[in-house]
Amino acid sequence: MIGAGVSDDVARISAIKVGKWFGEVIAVNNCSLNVGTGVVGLLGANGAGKSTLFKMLAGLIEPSHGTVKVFGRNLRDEVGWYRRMGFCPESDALPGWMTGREFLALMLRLMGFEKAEVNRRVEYWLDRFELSEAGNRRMGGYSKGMRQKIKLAQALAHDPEVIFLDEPLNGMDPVSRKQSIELVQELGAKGHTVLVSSHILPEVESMTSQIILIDRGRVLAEGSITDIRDMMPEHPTTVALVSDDVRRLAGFLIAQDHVLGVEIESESRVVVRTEHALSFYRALPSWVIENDLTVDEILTLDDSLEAVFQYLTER
Amino acid sequence: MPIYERGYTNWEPSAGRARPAWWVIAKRGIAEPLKKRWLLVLLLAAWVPAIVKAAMIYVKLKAGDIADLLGGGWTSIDPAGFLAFMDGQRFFVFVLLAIVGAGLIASDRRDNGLSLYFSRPLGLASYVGGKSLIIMFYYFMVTLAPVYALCLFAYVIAPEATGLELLFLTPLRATLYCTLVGASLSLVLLAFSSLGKRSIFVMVWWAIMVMGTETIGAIAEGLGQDSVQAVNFLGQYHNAGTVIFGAEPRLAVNPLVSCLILVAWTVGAILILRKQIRPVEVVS
Repeated sequence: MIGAGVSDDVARISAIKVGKWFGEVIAVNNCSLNVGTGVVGLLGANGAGKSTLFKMLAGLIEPSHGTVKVFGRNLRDEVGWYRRMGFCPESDALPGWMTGREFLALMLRLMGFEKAEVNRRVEYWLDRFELSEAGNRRMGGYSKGMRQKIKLAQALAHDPEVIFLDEPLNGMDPVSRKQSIELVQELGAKGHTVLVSSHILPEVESMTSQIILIDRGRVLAEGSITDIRDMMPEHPTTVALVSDDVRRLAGFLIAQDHVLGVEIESESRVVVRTEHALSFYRALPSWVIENDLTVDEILTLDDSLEAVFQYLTER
Repeated sequence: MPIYERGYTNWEPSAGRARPAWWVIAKRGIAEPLKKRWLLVLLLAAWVPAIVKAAMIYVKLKAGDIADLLGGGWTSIDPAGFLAFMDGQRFFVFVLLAIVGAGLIASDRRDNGLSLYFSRPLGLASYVGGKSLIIMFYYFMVTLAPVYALCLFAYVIAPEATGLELLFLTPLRATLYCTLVGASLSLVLLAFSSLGKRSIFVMVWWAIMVMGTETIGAIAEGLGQDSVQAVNFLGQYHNAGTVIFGAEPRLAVNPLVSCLILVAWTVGAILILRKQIRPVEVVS
């Protein structure tokens, strides 16, 4: 099983009814979730409680109530397990007086690597993020994108199995952004658990289809975007079909079980509303063949992450 | 082909011996200030009194009590003389520790760096222990190291006059004293450092703590208010140290009371550190 919403026995990260108050402010309220291998996006608007939940999962904030386990353990009680975890914070957490090379080396030494291996990994990751030349400069003079890359490098350099990336692409240029997205996908494909938080939907959508959606401190949904979308009967999926005989197509579709409504939008396009998108997609080819219908193109209009997010948060 | 196009590389960790996290933090923190030339000059300047004392020890051992007349108890090579020497180093202790220690936690807090530290296999004790060692190293450099050098020097020039006391017992007393004082001072300074995010504010508080309390203590002494001398922060260390060195108390405060005061300061510092050092960023 991959991604969010996995069972307890395969979950690398699990949270049971965790909550966090800061004074009278409830940042996270009664959240439960399981995350297995692969890339999972933690989504929510600014102030939704993402970073707080993220840090609780990473063992960096103690929950006010509930339990968090990574590898079935409480990380703060067994800090040795942090060797198997990488964390890239959202905040600009770099000492400006250190060079990039010194900083990465220090972070690796703290992970317990010996000098020769530290040097090898530092050079690899600086090179990977095209920072080899800048590596000897103080990080205080780095651009936002360079600082972001160094933060990402320190989270990955010790090759952790579970990786927490809090808004990892902030400030990166388009090329670095693309490379970083590919890197995250690659890590997920190789069996790492990558939990990526972001409030930018296309960013998450480009990395994974597995999401945990959080709003006002609560987990609203967890799983694949399609599955979540299918579980929203109050928001039927809208599908546009392009055909050279839209009237006959519309007349046929309106009589089918899963179809709630049909609208002829133009001479070549009909829009269908269905309560079960998956069943509709499965049945459509046989309907077309058996009834000699024509469908040239199928366009799903609202099963994007953005639509799911809007429906769930009512924004 | 550029390496970033090669794909992700997974390395198995090598079998080499890893250093504990506190050692990594301490080593890094000790090495960084040594890159500054003016700090090296300050360290050298802190050894000038030791050179002067060495010259006086030489004169004393070779020319009897004339040196005592010139330098008073400070030239003495008995244990109390070395305690007096270390007390005389307090200006360098104050300045050096302020420079080296003020920013140790404050900068990590300012940079939001605690979350990066604590996402490593590192507990609070390792973090504070590593930072404490940095302060203790520089404290030793201007107190314990000169004492060792002076004891060795005295023994080398006149082994028959100095004996085992100078070769073993005095260094042992100094080691015990400096370890206790260094640990306590470093925790107090780190507690100050954890309360701010800017080194300069920590330095100001440190100055008030050291120089302010000493001034108040001196005024109180002048006015005959002996009990007020209990506020003299650095003075308490010397006063408590008289128990280890078998010397006369420096302040009009019972040395055991000084010990209790210092224990209270140290415990207070630990409580502050436990409260302040969390991997949590400020959430308003």
